[in-house]
Amino acid sequence: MPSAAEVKSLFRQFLRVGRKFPNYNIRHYIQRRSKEEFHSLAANADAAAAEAAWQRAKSQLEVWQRQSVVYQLYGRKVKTVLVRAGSGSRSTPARWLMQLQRHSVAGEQNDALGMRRQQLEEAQQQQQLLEEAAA
Amino acid sequence: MALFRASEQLLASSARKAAPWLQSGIQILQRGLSAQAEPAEDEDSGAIEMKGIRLRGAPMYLDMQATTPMDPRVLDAMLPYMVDQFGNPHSRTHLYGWESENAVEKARQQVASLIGADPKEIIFTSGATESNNMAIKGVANFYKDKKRHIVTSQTEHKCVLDSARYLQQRGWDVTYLPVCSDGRIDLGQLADALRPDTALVSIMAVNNEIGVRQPLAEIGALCRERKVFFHTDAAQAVGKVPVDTSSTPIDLMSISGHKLYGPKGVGALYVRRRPRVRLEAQMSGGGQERGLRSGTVPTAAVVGLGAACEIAAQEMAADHAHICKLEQRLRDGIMGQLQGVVLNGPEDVVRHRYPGNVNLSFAYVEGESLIMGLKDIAVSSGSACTSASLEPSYVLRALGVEEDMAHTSIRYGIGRFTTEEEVDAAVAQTVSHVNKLREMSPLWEMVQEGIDLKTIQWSQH
Repeated sequence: MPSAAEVKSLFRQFLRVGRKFPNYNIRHYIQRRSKEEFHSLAANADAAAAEAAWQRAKSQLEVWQRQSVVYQLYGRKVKTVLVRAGSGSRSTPARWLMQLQRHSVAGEQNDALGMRRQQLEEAQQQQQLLEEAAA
Repeated sequence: MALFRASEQLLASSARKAAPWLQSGIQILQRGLSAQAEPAEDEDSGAIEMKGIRLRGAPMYLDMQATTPMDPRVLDAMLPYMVDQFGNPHSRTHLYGWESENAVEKARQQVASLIGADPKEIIFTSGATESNNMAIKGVANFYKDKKRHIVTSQTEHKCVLDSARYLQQRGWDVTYLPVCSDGRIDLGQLADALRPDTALVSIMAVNNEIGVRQPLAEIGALCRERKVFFHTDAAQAVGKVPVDTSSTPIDLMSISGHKLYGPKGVGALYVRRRPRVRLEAQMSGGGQERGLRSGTVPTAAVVGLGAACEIAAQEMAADHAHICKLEQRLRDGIMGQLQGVVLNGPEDVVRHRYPGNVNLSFAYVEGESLIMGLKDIAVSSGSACTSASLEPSYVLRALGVEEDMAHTSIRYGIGRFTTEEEVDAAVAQTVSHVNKLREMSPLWEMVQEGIDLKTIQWSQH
């Protein structure tokens, strides 16, 4: 039966792996699920289930650590649009992104989407063309 | 350079406490090895350019019905069998064969326990398409002396419909049952369609386009009563909603690996043994997989399928809660901010629809431009199998959705790894793009003025 300190230490290791995992979706999945699992483990008074969950968690930690290395070796270089792309945010963010940032907590930095700005410019140009055609 | 810095951080944080193998992994990182071939990248913005479109980064993946990302735990289970334990599971004479066979049998047990079956009832195939072909053609060919009729539905997957057409060309009668406007089949119509010479009924458990769940228990009971075999294509259902062959009278069931966070190119067919279902084998050869599917069983892929099934069994409840929450968020977000949005399929996510599948039609918007504008999210319009052609999805047509609404349907797929942030971003981008398209549309102006579009007499030029 693990002690409270051991459980806490394992939980922290899970969170550490979760923070460093190279893939955005898996990273959030690990963080969310490990919190859920450890909280239910704490709430669950059943000793047998707790022991089984503890053993499962210990073997799973090694799996996540190994896969963290594999994803870093073979993962996509260009990350998803929600993660900072690497270059500075020189251009203004897209309209839909700004709406999002207003509502959500500033977790990961949302970078500008030049392509979206292009779309807006094209829309403006089309609008101008329509106005010219109407006139 | 970024790789070097990242590897240093990894080294500092975890390698000190972790195993020595991690240190050598870090050394590989520090040598800057990367296996992936890079698409044409712009140095300034880090963009990807493909098919004439510039993308800022990889889009957010919201197309879980087309395929799902592999769970890292599944990859971890598969890798040893692609590295050192590469033996053929049918080799009986050496360690390589024995360990591969053990792995295959363990995977078989994992798949069987997910669906409440016996391991002897699981046949590994190359995917749900092959399983569907085996089930339909196999049963039909075995019983072709006594039976002449097959019943299926209009919303089945293309492989089922095509197998039925193949049998039709060889003299079989096929009844394609129509569906109600929410996608479910009518049990009365099914009962009427069954004849004394019906060999098989094939109805899919969860539809891949609209997510509708068919009443498997009732259909199975009806088929058992009339002594007809019941096959279900459960590719989208297994691992996501509970499917139990020990309590539900299903005779044949197709399973797909890549729909439940497993590898592509592998699947399984459940073939009931009590009462026994007989099949004619479609793949002839050395008699592997109980003579029903010859060919070397791909150990790594099958181990991946087994691991995916085991993980699905453990995570099903948590996944379901997470996906329901996200589905609510997505639907409330889009339908709360836009008018003229219709959900294709039943609304009830508890009994009638799988929540991870949200198929919405946007009125007064053109379909192609809608999907071309949603560049930051990877979604689908129509099924992945039929999207090469311009014709609207046959599933939506069977539901009675009008052509213009069928063209503007977008299918959002939510899965285990989808985050709230991605759902919010999808909502924001969809709403923004639909509004932008509607602003440009004269039809929308007319609707806003209160003109009913159906009463307009369009002049023919």
